[in-house]
Amino acid sequence: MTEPSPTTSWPADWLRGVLELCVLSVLSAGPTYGYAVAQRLAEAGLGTVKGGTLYPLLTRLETEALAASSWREGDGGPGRKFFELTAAGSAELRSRTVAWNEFIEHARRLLPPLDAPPPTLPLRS
Amino acid sequence: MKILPPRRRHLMDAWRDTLTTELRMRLVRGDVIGDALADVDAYCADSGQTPDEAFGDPVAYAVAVAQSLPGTAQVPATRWWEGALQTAGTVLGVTFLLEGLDAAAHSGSGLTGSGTVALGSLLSAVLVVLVVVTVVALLPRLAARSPWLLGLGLALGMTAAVLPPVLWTAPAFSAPAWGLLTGGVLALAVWVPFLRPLQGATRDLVVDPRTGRESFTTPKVIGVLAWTLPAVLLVAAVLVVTLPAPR
Repeated sequence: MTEPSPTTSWPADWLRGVLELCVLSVLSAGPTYGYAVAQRLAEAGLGTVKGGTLYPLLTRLETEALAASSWREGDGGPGRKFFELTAAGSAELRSRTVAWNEFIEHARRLLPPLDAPPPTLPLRS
Repeated sequence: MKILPPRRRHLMDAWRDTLTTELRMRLVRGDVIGDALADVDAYCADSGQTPDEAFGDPVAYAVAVAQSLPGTAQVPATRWWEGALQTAGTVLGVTFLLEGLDAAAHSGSGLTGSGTVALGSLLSAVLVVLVVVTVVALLPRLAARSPWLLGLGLALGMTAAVLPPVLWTAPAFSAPAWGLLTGGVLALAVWVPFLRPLQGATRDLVVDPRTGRESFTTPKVIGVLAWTLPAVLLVAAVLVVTLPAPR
């Protein structure tokens, strides 16, 4: 397997705000393991998420009963821990997605349109 | 699985050792530590990274893991009153037993001979209980932040147990040898309700969830430590009975 290649390095604060929601979304596609989650996030353009960030987050999702995990045999290598979304996790994903979309819509309305000329400050006489 | 060069293997083992120690100090259960280590192994096997590259500093990672776990992932901590009861029972039990044996062996009247408990012995019981209660109350913070302070606490406890009976030998009370021996056994009996949990704690092994086997070989010394008190008591009893009385 290859290392996920980061396309962009996003500010850490942005990633912190949305990472849990994105991981819930990756898990909603079906049971998967830690490194595959990291790869999927990188492919989606979120950049490299290290194991040291990802696993505590996955454990927290388990603690909150939003995900469940089980160890499965590997193909010749060591076994892998697969994570999957619980019913509570699916419900949480739906409600957080609605809230997140509403949030970014508010933020988007506040920002200048991309085709608008850059704002200029009036000259002082 | 890839065969790692010796130096890389050594660094990986050192990283795993630090993570294990840091999680142990945060009272995380052995099977949960085994699970965290297996997570690291699996991720590193997939990514080809070292634990240091993928998970960063093992101390910071241990903090993040411990914070993400539910309360049930922790070893039940000793409550302060349990620590106080065990300590008081141990110090008083050992004192009464040894004084009782001394009286029975050297008074010339056997079990009816009179023995004396020094004021210093009672004071040491009180001091040791205070030290133990303080250490138990602060244990999670002490262990996580400063193992040196924890060591200092234990050293204070030992000093408090040994010095007062030597420095303050004035008698507190006298009793027949059989009474002291019975009192000693009863005082040591405070350990009985705690033996099963203690056995469970010494068996809290770090187990790899993939194989069901221990991730580390538990040093034999851990099993030996559980026998320290009975062994010391036995040696002291033999010395008290066989050595001539200092009178």
